[in-house]
Amino acid sequence: MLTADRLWLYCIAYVAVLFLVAWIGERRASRGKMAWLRSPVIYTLSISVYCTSWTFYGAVGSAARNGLEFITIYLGPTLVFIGWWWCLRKLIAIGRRQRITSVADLISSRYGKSAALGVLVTLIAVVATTPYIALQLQSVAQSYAAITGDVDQTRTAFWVAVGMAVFTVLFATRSVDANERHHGVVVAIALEALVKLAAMLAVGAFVVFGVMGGIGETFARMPQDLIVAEEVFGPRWATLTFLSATAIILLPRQFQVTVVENADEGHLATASWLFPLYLFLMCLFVLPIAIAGLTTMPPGANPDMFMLTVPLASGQDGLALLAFIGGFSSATSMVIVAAIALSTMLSNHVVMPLALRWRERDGATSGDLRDLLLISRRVCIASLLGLGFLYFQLAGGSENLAAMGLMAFAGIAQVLPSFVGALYWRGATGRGALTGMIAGFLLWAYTLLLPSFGGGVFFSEAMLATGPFGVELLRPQALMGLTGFDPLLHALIWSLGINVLLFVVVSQLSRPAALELVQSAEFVDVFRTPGPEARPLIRREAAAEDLFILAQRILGAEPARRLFEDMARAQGRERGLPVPTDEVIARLERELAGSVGAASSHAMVSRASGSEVVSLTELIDIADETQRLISTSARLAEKTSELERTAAELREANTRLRALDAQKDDFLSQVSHELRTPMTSIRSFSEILLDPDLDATSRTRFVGIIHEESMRLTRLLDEILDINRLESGVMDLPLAVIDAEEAVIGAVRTLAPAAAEAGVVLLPHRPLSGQKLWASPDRLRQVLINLISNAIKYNESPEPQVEIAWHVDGKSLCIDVIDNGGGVSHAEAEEVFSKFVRGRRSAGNQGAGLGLPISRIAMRRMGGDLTVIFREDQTSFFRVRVPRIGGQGSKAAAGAEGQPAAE
Amino acid sequence: MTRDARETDTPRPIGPDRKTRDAGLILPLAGLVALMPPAGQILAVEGTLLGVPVVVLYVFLVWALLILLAYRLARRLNGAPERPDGC
Repeated sequence: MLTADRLWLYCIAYVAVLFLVAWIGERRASRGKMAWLRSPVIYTLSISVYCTSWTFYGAVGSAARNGLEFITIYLGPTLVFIGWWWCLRKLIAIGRRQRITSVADLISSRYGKSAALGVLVTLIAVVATTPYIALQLQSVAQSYAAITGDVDQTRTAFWVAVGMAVFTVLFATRSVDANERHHGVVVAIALEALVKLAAMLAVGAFVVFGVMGGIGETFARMPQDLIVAEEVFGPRWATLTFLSATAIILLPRQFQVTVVENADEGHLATASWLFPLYLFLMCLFVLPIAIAGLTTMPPGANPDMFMLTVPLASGQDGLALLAFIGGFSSATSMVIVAAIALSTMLSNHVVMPLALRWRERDGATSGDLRDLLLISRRVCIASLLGLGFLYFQLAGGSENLAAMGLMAFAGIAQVLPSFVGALYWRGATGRGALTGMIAGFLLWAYTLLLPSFGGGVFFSEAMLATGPFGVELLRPQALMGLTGFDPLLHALIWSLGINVLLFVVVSQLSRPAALELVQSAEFVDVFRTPGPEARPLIRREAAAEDLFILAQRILGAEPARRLFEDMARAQGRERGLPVPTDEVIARLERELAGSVGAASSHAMVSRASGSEVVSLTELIDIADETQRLISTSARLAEKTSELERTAAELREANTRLRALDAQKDDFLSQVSHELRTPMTSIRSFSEILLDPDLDATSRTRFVGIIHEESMRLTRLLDEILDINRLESGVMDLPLAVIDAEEAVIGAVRTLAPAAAEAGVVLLPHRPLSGQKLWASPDRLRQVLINLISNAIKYNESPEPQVEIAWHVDGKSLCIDVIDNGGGVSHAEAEEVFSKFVRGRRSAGNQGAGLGLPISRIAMRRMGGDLTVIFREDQTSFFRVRVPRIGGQGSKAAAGAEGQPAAE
Repeated sequence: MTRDARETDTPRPIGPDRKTRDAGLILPLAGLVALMPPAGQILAVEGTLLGVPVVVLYVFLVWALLILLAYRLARRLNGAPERPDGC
């Protein structure tokens, strides 16, 4: 037999295990070992905090009373989760971008960071959750009583409330987290989810196969009136499904685990099927257990306790203990998460604004607000459990569990119209939301909450029956004479109906404030907005020091320092505070919002930064959908023009490549041609030589020709190789300091015999006094020889002469080779530097035409150049430009140098 | 230059195709229709199948089917198939 002491011991041991798991989770998170903490399975299991003791005990109770109806509570969430792509995904995206901390924060943030809306939603959440917490206390007390026979449920409920408060305070409020995540708690909740499921399945399997003897046998003993097929799908069925769908999103604890604690948007995809599967498994044995309870238990037994009493009646103490722990688990997880969520809401939306106001009145601006935040959260948690206990005292006992849960659902559903408007309707205004919610909430309280206490607490029996002051039309459960519905549906029609009506009408009649417009765009178009970082819309000014002090007060010294360092670094500042630009202020506001909620954060930052100005054009820019489309298409157009530019560049490059390719083909055919000529003569003369009758004189002559041709061939090949190596840069040009005069005179001396033979007079100008050049001696000499010999060869003047002049031009020395034959024409000027092109004067001469191209390339490689200079009379000459040592030499020295006579 | 612009200007990665996204909307709507009064009323008849009332069987079967389809859809909507560890 399970004794009371034993049961307490088990409970404390179980809580100790939870504590350990939460502690390990927290430690791993703080060390950054997040891998398994962030798994989608943990996330899904934490969402199953939806299954409270209402599911665990109440579902069976509900099935025993109303048949299949219990299942609607799980069908709504299933539909919401399998439709995650259209609602939850958007909600989580908004939550992450705006650093939403609770459902109150979401509504307040969307409607212009309104403090009033934050307070209202918090109030609704607290009032709606109180019966829910009471329900958990009651179920633990009832189950304890069912096992031990203890009749004093109040005492049990009290101690359970105290224990839960201590656990929650210890775990959830150790620090003010920057984004309000509680890794340890989430892991503990996930473990509780497994315990609940295991207990449910164990009891179910035992009942079906151990007590009843199979599924068919179980249903065979089902009371005939439990499930009437025609009555299953009625209006109440639809209502409950709708309510549960609302609850899975809007219940503070669900919002906490689904949105606030979400570590990765991708986890939602797993939860979209895994969470419905969890619910499915939880529901699998509910109906059989209810049937077993109804058939084996004495009439009058509490159906809510069948989970315990059926195993107990079969003498299965161990199973009953497991079921008790399962129920305890469901209750604790719900209370812990709900208390965390509500305390965050209360401290952010009620305590914080009040504290700010008081401090302002006292003139105090300093002091750490974190302590205040932590203390207020602890006090809130304790108060919430106190409220739950109070409700249990006032209304508990008589109610069945399911009805209490549904009342909470209907209460939180008052937030639904504003919530849907927040996500999908740009025209929704804060005034509309406020009006709708206040009306809906009051009607809910009047028609559902207050009557739930029964006659004698808030309403007298007479008032419930005949209406206040005897006005029948105002009867709480038959308002305006609306009868024929069950109380829940009646309350919902009135409260939600009026709520939606006022929300829509007032929204249409009122004009949204500037900040509201900004936020509505951020929310409704969350996937089309580049993110709040992209452009701050509000122009504000603040002293960096004030902002830093503010951040320290909320976030603590170290995190604030890190944040500001980060922001300063983002601005490229190594030390000191960041420049308080609009971006910095906006980012700080978001960071603080993660701790104290959007409205408080906005109020605090605004106070530090003075009045705000939203520029009208920017507002129109972001708020107007057309504008948004225009800006999107402008971006597209920009991209298109960029593509066009790239395409044009590519086309150009392609043309250049084609030209180069054609040049290469030209070059190859030229080379073949040039090679072919000497080869042909070599071949033909060789053939003649093969004739044995040839006389010795001719033989010698022909061998001479062959020798000459092969020499020419070798020279040509050398030149081709040379130009190739020079062009590709493979060949190194060893540069050295050389004497200019030596180089020029050396070249002239070499060519003197050739000149004399051709009857050409060489006229070098007067000597260069010690000019030093930076060049490759061999190459420079080769270039000069090439130019002078060309001038000798191609000179068609009757009295040929070649002048070699020089002068200093800045950093280089210019050496001009001028023949009196007129030089090349304009048309030829560039052509002569192309490979295999010879000037018109060279028609009868031999040579591959590679000399000038090689010379030019060589000069350019040395940092100089080879160009054709035209004079006024259209005659031209070649100019070699060579880098000079001491190029910055004085002008006086330069002036003393020899000048070409030709000028 | 052009590459940078492309990376920063894209508002969000291109998600699943239109058909898959539509399926994400159709699935919950289909579930709603199947489980709500008019349609449910037609299919839920009196009587039992394998000893279980047809209406109970119907609701649970629709539910299981929805979970199965949601599982397949989630993998397609989320891009790369995701393998939950040990469940």
